[in-house]
Amino acid sequence: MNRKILVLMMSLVLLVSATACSNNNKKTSSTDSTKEQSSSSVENGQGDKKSNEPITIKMMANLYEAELKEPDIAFLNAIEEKTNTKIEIEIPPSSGYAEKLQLMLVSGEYPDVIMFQTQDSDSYKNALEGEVIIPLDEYLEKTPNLMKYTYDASWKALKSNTDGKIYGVPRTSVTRADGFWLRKDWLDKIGISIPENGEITIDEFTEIMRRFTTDDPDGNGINDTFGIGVFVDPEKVMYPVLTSQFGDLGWQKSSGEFDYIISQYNKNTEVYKKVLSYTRQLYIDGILNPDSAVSDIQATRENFWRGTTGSMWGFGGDYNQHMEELGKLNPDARIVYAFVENENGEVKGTGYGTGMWQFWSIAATCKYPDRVMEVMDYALSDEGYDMLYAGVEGTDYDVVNGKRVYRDDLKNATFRGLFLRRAGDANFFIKPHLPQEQKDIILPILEKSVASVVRSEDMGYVPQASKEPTYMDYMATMAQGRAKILLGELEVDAYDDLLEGWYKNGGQKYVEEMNEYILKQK
Amino acid sequence: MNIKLKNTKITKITTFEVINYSFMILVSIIMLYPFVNVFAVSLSSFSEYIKNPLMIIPKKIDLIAYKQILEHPTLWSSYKNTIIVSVIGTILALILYILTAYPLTKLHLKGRKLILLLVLFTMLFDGGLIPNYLLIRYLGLYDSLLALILPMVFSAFNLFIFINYIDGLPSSLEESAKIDGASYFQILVSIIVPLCKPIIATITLFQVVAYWNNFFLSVIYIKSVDKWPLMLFLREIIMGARMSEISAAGNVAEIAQNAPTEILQYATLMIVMLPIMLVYPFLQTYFVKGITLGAVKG
Repeated sequence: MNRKILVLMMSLVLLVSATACSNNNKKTSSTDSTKEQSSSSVENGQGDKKSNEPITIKMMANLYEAELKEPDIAFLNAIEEKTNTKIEIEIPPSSGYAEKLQLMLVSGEYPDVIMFQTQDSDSYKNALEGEVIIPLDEYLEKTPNLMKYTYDASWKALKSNTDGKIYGVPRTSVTRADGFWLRKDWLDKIGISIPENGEITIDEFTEIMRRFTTDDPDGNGINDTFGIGVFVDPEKVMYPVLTSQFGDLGWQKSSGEFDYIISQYNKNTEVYKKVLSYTRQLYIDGILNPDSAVSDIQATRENFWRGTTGSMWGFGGDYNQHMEELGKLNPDARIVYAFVENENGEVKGTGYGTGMWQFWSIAATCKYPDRVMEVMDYALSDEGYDMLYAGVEGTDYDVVNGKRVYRDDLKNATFRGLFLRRAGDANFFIKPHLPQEQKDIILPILEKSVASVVRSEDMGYVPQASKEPTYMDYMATMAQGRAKILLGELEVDAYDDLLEGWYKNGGQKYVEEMNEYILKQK
Repeated sequence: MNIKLKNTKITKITTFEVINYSFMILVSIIMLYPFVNVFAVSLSSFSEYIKNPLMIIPKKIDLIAYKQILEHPTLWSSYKNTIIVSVIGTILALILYILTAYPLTKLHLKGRKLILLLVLFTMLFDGGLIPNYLLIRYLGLYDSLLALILPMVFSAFNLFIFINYIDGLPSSLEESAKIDGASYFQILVSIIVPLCKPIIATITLFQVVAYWNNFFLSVIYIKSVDKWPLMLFLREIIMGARMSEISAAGNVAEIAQNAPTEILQYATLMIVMLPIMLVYPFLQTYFVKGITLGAVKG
């Protein structure tokens, strides 16, 4: 009995001392960090100006490629030289970036600059709440290039709800509304041409799709082609073929019950039902490749290259890649880009609300936030942006007779592509080394994609209501219902019931919260 | 000349057997097909794959994917890391299991129940991701191969298998050694360990496979690319493209261009699977034995 008590007491003592130790550790580390911060703020004022030693900036980024290649290294070297810095980038495995970010935030040891995926991610919210990152407003006054070349919507999206300050520098994503790639050689075969301005009506588009399916455009004598292929959204329901053409333009002003509404949740219009109905009919008529219901974007591209489908929704900058892959199987294949007009004859499409994709925040432990901002500002200056886009002389190109000649063995510059970007610059999507005739094909397409954007007012915001279990459960029902409608298993009118159920299962709160958010941004 | 048919048995094939064999053949085909397809695609060019993604036999052998993947600098370093982790981890694990299991079979060991209880506790409760991460950081193991070895070096389940096995050995052998004056350590080394060969083989297989397949520890504990294990490399090749598509939102098409193609993904799969596949058939018996050992006595 006594022995048992002794063992129990010893275990307790051990437990208590272990806890005490860990508490001590915590205390020490927090004191250390306070000290570090205070010393850094002193240095901040004068320290960096005293010496000419380059300062080290540690960054953590999700770059999809674990190791930087020569073009990125050359670019970083050039930036370091210009800004008297030394940039170290930690690139965690992209498949585990979110976990790594969360763990880094709890560890208490932060890099100077942290890349966050979205302003709605848990890690970003935690970093804000835990004051791990600092507001950048005071530094932004001294960064004219960042201010000039970033969408206002992106800054708004990065404003904190609590203090109204901006906590990140957006990696701008040139907002665009994409059209469709069509097989030009198939169009020639069926005797249809696309007008010079690339604009076609919904009827013309449908007719092309239909004839791509029925008129054996590949001439192999077998009825084995489809008009178009699409792919599935994150909820595993296929994207409708046409959306904005029927008036579905994301969150927009409304005269109904709410100030702002998206057609998908609008009980007062038939817009979304028209969107569903159009794709549903294409599916039933066998014009839409049935694989679309389970395909991802890569599979859809492959079907296009294979000649199974005659068109696909896609990015105008992909001209080269499509031509290359199509050419391997069919050297005669040609492609053309088309925008489908809406019912009023206009070309309009929804652009990604915030105009940014990922952003950079600065940690509270960073000793030189002003210098970090300088580096970012430099990257968007004329000189910096030229390097960001075209690369560095001696690595990406050589200058021969005053002209840039790009090297043949050009490697991917992942960091350059994901670091920063100038808002609205369609040219960024055109690789600098492409021959002029290809640039001439791509640029007008991209310019139109950029010009035809109608921005959704939601700014990528995800209302808290979406985290409610009832809502989340119902979203699965809703997705299933949408899939059934698109595959012709349910009538389009079934969407009314789905929508009613959605409002009852948290949808009402969702729309209210979204409205509150949008109105606050105005 | 008379020919005598000796020992020939004419067996009747029953309907059940026909159905059974047909079903089994069908199941085997279903199981084998993806593997054969992956192998065939990995030996083809991307355009051949586009033409016929469901191929079984490659039309034209093209080793481009293997060439690309074998030239990838991370492949070799990750191969090396996985081998180091698997070998050292397994050896360490076996030493620990043997040294822990043997004393725990002795009923007179003081505190035996408490130790067993503590071991059992780890089977039911886990510290959780964040405490484990902080522990590894505070121990200074972050970004070192030890962070991949130590967390998996000791599993309560495997220990119980070991204890059960040693418990089942005839006690007379040990007793006779004791009479001859052997110490506990001598008994362990010269009697128990040689008798434990089957269980050692089983646990070796368990550990090696566990180390070989683990990628999650490296996702959270490893920073430098040159310390990546093979599975993380594979995951990056396969998942990297998919992840970028998902997170790209409005910019889907922009990123997918850099995605590793299927042929590259498939070739990586083959290279990563090969060693463990070669070892598996030889150790399969032990694997089954291990599972039954655990099931019956564990």
